[in-house]
Amino acid sequence: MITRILLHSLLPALVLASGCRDGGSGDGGTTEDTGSDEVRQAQRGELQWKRNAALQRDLMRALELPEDGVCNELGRGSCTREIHHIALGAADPLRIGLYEPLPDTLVSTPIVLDRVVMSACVNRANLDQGGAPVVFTDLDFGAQAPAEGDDAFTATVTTLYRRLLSRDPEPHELTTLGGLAVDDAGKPVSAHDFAVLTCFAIGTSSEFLFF
Amino acid sequence: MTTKIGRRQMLLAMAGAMGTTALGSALSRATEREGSTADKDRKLLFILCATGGASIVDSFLPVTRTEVDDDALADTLNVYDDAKIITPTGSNIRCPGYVEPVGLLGNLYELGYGLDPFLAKHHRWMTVLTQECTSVNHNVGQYRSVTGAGINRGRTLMEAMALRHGEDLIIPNCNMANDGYIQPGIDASLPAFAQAEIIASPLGFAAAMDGVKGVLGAPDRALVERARGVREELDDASMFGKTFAGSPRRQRFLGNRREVQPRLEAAKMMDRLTLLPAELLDPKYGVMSSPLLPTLASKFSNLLVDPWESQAALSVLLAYYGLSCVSTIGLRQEPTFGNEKLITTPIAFDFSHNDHRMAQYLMWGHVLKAVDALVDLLQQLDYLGDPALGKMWDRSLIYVATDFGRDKTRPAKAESWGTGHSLNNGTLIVSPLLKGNRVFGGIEPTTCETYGFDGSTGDSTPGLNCSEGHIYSAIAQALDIEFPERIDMSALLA
Repeated sequence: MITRILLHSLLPALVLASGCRDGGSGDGGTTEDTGSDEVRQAQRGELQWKRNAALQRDLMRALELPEDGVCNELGRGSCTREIHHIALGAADPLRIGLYEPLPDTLVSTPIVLDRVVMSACVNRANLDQGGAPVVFTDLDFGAQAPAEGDDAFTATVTTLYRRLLSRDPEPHELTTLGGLAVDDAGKPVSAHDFAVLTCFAIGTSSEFLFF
Repeated sequence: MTTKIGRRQMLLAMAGAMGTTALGSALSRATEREGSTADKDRKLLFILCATGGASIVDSFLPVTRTEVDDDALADTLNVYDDAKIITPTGSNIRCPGYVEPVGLLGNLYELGYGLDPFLAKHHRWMTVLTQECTSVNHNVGQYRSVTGAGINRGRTLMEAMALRHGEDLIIPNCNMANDGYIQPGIDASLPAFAQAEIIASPLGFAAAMDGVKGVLGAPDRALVERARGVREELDDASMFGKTFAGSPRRQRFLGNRREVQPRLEAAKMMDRLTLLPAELLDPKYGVMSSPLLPTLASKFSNLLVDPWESQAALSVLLAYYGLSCVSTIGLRQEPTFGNEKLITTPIAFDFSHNDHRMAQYLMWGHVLKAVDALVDLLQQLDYLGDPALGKMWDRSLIYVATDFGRDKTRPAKAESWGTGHSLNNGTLIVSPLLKGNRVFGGIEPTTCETYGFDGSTGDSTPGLNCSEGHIYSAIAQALDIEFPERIDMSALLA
């Protein structure tokens, strides 16, 4: 009986969820599939900021890093929990009496995020280069970065999109990221640099940092 | 706007270059450029938050037994023996001399800095204003001490200051304090640039000035810039970016990332703000100590272990390098250890609940030691490292904010006692912008309660009370901050 009630109550939600996933075939209005590539802007635009603990956990999960393997600021403490926790959206009731986290990002927030994600990406690339690779499995760290269109390039970018953004890259995104396989002079960068830069670019995108 | 950024970048770069050889020998180096009108006119505000209730009766408005003129009554009031009160030569202000560490846990304290040396040295810059605040709740009292109880559309002094003097500064309003002192104002129309940058870790804040420097193994900066460019392209073109293009939260974030971050990184502030000495910086990170660290450390010798000192030191750097025009620092709740004993009490001034006189003397000494250091440094340093702009001190105001006062009574003849919170108190401001060596208002010896003054004439009048709004107005007037409700405090201006 209880199971039946639960199923009945969950059914509408499941139907709605599947409808949204398909791009909106119902008459919901704002998500109607017009058949064009045009993207409708969210009317309210309300986004949540992925704050310090969630950011840390998401990076640990996506890059399979231990807690102390994400970011340690100049060897003096955790970036996300000790040194930059306020800029990353944490509360701090005991030390500074900040009982609720700040509603919006600070001036230093983007900079600190760059440091945290860069550090996590470097740590993952180093681990993969020095041992059995976990994330960058398709890269040959002894060689140059794969060129855009190469299987290793596509596989690496796709892996990072799936791990960090839980989706596949669009073709135009693959093309854009092709710019990270070479330097300003057009010379191929190392596979290690390519791994770090690609991870950094995707991991600091607003899509990863807001939800 | 582009012109303004370019000017600022140049300014910061020059100020930084000057900082490498700051003081003494290199005073002629900055004459090749002139500061902007904004730089010349800019004022600097330092708010030192004396958390827990710093009592003016135990600092610069003490009452003596003789003044009470009634021994029995004097035994029940927070008064001092006449011999304990010191009035330095030339000073119109007086203070208690050395207070013996007696009472609860008295032998655990290390008294480092007395009130009378401070008064003797700085009395000509000191302005004491009496006031009666409107709350004895810590958080509320703290907040009202920086908002004037809402006199200026709910803007904090720091926000008003940033709005008036900080529009072309990168982080004009830096707040390292705590509790009510870090709460934002309630004016929803306040521009984002004037909102406070909350800094919980002054020793680590320098790292927030650069997204790459010191991150071990990060690719070459040119490659990182390339990755940032790709990222911005991806961000705008992605389904997510298009869908949430109008999100205020995302826009604010991207605005800071695309406009402010490049300015900060170009200004190379990470090394300049680093308060860690070389021996604590592993060379593998490629980070250097601030060129001004030796100068700062000579004044703030305990800055590595005392957050109060590290906050004060950072506040000097933030102003000197043209990043901010207002810095707020605050005493922490936890005690700080000196060599062997405590140099601050637990819960700062609020330890007066347990041992009033000892807590007040110890904590006032701790606060004034930082004020002394700040004054010395500000008098020593040219603003932005540019002699043409004059010393930082000439444009500075130091406001010692506090939650509220303390009770004025004691158990008969008690030498050690505890006090509750009191609305009645006074405020210390140290600045060349106000009439120094002056007490505005007075104190009634038979109650130890302060009374107020007329801000337009300066006349003290028993029965008159000055509120948080008067203090806010006095500071605002000295700093050229105008608002319709400002109370005329012209009599206080230098």
